[in-house]
Amino acid sequence: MKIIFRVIVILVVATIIGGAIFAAVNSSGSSAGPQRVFEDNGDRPALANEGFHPNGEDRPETDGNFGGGIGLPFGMIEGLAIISIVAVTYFNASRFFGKKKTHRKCKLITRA
Amino acid sequence: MSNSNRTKLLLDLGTFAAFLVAMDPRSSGIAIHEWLTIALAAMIIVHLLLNWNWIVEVTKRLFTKGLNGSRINYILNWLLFIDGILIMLSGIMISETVVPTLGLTTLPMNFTWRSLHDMSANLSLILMGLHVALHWNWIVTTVKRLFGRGTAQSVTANIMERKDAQA
Repeated sequence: MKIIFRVIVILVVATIIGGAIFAAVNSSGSSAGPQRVFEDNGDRPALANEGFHPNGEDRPETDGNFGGGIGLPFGMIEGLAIISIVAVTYFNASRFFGKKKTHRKCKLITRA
Repeated sequence: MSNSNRTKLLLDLGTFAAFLVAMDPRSSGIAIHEWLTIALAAMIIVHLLLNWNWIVEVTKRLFTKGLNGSRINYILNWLLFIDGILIMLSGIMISETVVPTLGLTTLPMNFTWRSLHDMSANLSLILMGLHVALHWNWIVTTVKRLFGRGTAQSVTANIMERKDAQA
């Protein structure tokens, strides 16, 4: 019962935040003006990215754009590298500022 | 080692691995990317449930003196949570597999949601890096205990050795 209550709390909070984000994006989108909708009259200019469906039609499966199978996991390695760099940067920064703090404390102690 | 710590560690390692795979849709393919992210959301909910007591305790003492480290950790966790929601929401808006499979109407292509999805995914890498960094000591200690190398005495001995080396 407790667990169900906690799950509901998490989902409610997530829904509230999600709703706020959705409202913010929609309001910023509407304030920018209506989105251009191309009529299918054959005269529309060529778009940079294919597969634009302004009427909300079914989208074709993108088995070409994202590589439909298991490829080389460079993206995973890249993600792991970024996380590692951020973590190492944090450690170095905390060590640097930690040393500064102890150095200042030592100075205060020696003066006293 | 307590069962809860072992469970937390194994879940966290699995969640992290799933996160890395989900961050690379070009290798995994869009279908795996979308379904894996749904599973990842469930794993994150379980992660929050396992750490519920910490969340409640820090929330209660958020505005009291001290606890600066926990406060920073708490704020970072909230940012990660909000970013995760943004990733999920924008992902649903641009979904190509899950939404049609569930029989829901696809939305008109909206580049705002796509760019939000990309931006929030990139931000999640940085936030995840900080999250791992802030919990690194716990990760290392728990991994050592899980593989039997870290008894209470040897962990204490390691800490004393490091302190001597630093001095």
